[in-house]
Amino acid sequence: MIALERNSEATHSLQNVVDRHASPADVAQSENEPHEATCDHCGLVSSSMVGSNGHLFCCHGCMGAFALIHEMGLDDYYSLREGAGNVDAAGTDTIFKQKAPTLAAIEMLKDLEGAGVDVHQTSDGLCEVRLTVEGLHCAACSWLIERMQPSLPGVHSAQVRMNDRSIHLVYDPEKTNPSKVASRLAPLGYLLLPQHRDDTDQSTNRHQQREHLIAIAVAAFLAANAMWIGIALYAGEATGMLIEHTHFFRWIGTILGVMAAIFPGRVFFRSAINALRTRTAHVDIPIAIALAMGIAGSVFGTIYGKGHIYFDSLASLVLLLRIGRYIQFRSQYVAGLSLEKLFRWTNGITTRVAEDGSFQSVAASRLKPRDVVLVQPGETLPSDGFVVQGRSHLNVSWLTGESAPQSISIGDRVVGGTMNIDSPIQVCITECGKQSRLGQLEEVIRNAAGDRTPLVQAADKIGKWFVIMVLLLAVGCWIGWCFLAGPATATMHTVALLTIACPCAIALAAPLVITIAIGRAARQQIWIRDGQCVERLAKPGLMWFDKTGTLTEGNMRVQQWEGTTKSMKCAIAVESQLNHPIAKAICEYVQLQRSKISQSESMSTTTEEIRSIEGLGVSAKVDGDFVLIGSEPLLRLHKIVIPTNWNSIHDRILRDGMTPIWIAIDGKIEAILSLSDSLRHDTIESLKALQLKGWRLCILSGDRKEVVDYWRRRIEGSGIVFEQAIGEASPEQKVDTIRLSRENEKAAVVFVGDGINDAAALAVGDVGIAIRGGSEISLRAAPIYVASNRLRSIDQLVDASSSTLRTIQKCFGISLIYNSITISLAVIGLIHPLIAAIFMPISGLTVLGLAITGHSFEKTEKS
Amino acid sequence: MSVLYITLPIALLMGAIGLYACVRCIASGQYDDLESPALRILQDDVDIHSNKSDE
Repeated sequence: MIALERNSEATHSLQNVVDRHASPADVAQSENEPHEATCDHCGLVSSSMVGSNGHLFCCHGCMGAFALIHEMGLDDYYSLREGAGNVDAAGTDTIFKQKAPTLAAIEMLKDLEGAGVDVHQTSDGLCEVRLTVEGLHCAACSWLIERMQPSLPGVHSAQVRMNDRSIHLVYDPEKTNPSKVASRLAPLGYLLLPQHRDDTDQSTNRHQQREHLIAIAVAAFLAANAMWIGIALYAGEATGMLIEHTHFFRWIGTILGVMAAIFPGRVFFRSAINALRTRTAHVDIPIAIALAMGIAGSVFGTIYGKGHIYFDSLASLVLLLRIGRYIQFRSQYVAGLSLEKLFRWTNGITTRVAEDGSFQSVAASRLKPRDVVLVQPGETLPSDGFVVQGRSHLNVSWLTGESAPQSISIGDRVVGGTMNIDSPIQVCITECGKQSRLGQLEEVIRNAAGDRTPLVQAADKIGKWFVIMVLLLAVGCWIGWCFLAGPATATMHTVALLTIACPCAIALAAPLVITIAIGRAARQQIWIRDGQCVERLAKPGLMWFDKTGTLTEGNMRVQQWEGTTKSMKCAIAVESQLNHPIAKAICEYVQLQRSKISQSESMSTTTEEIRSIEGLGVSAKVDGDFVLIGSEPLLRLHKIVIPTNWNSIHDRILRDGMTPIWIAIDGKIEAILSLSDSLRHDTIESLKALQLKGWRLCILSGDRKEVVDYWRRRIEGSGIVFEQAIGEASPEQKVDTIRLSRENEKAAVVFVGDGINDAAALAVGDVGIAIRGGSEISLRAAPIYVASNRLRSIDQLVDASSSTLRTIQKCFGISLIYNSITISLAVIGLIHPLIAAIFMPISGLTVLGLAITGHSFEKTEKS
Repeated sequence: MSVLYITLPIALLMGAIGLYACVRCIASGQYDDLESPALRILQDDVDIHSNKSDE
């Protein structure tokens, strides 16, 4: 595990991130010289830091906000907010995003056309643009940006929109341009970028949302008024009413009802006609027929002044149906948004090398095959291609889960989305956009999210048969009643049948219940990206757990240090330069022991040539001595023989389930230290609960077999049985193991893990669950992210999933029973159309009520 | 009771005016973003140059 985890984090070491809990002394230092650090308020990484009382901030706005929050005793805000997972991520990836591209972005915004920004000219000669703002984390940031506006000449308005992290600029093109605005905001750490291509989808989405809301507003107005008029008419029937007043009310009511069917209700006619054209049974067909018959009947009844009119039921039917449609639309939209975030880890700016050798900044979406781009270290490759100049290492972990950097040189194929690590390279682009590997992956995930879950598909199928059956019944009903009682009665009964037999309860149940469950889960800090997972987790199956960071805390601690003080001195000299869990553990331990060393020797050393070696450990030169820190294979690599007198300590460390780390100076072993981890406090409890529910448990870890066996024995001591415990699994082996067990297993195969090593395995399982503390990459791969950092949440998730499934089944059952009873009553002619119209929404409301009161996540909310 | 012929259309008209206002609100985008306005109300109308925290 050490070996595999080491490298990618080590690559960050050069950035020399100041620890978030910096001591006051460090802060004072960073005030004087620019230092890269994360803001204690917004989590933004910035080089221009301000400090106060041992805290660091990216800007005065954040410092003010922090002081205010602290003053009001609301420090909990920070712990709550960290649950969202922003802060962890900011520490690593944002460094790369923020630094280099700032100038490129400013440069690129000079040519708005080339950057792919839509500029709207307003009538008074001003320009309007919408740009994405990066580094926007909190209200204080949006406040600051909006307050900047008066100090920016030529900018008429700058409005930040938090929900899609964008800014709307209105400016005078003669006095300023977005590039100037960007250069003013850049020192504060906010980066203005052209919007991604998905943003056009977003504007159509926004447009649709408005249409939906307007339709609901109009339908509500018409329904409410039609209902009052209906009440007046019934009251009049009971207590007596002038015949001309009755006519007047009927006319007004009919007009309202017809308007409801024509304006907000026209979508149903439209989709029914489309369905008829393509000869498919659609839920909208009976709705459209019922609406049409209702209108015809009402108009007929009004004109001839006799018979029943259904305008109030018509209007309320339209309202309820439109609300149902809106709920569907919203849940799709929200799912779409979460997807968009997944693919936004590149900022879309790239440096193109022109034919004359000059560099220009362009939007990645504007790249064409055969363009040559320059990729600086720390930048993400914009698209697929091959290297034409330079040699470097790539971080390809997002793609394969392979954590070791891949070395590349001229002629090698490279894939977009991977990160260049050490030196600049020039890449000739061969595929871009949807043809690139990243584009294809994006497409796959988009489609997966668009896939309807099996239950929803089943509901659709039932719905279709239902529609066909109801239509046949309606025809039979009408013909039958025509013979028995004439066309007027026949129409009445048929309208009643068509109205009451609305299958929307069936169609609505599954998506609604799942959407509600996902919302409730989010409140429990469990983020579910994919509704299918809820269905899959409902029945027990096989659950694989990663060990480090999942079953255990993942915080390595140095337990023993056998060796010289010189080794400590060298270790801290090297490891203090790195930002890796093991490095941190070593530093922590040495800090505690510091008094010992400083008495004997001075701590000042010069450290050079720090290299992390293929994920095995590090090597460096400390005061001219060649220092190696790492696992046994690292020593073997440098042909260092371990003297036999170390063997007993080494064996004891392994026996205790700890991880040995060697320190060698100038080819001689100086020390061995043992690292160990501790179980999460809720591991035993959660595993027991899962096992009771019928889940079978396994361990799949990259750590050494001995260590995995130790933890297995320790956990099994508490009455938990592991079916398998696999150690020393490489990322590829993890993927293969999961894939294999998916093939052999009928039930769901779940993988719970975190860390870069697990990204691919998380994606391969039926359900991947990332536990907090994992890298951003694994969160992209996993459809479920447990931000609460508790293993217990998985147990809750499983509970909630099965109760969600039960709720859906209950909804189906009730809706089917209800419909078959009411349909038979309607066919017999026992149900009046009005009563049908009252009962129709009731079946929908029953489903809604069941969905909301369903127990998913409720028990957990109390605990 | 014939006052109904006047009051009912007036009532509907008043409702329709409200509806029109609501539709205008939605069409102008007031319902697009329900997040930022809620935050914006917490922000004082202080000019950045006179802001104390800018020291």
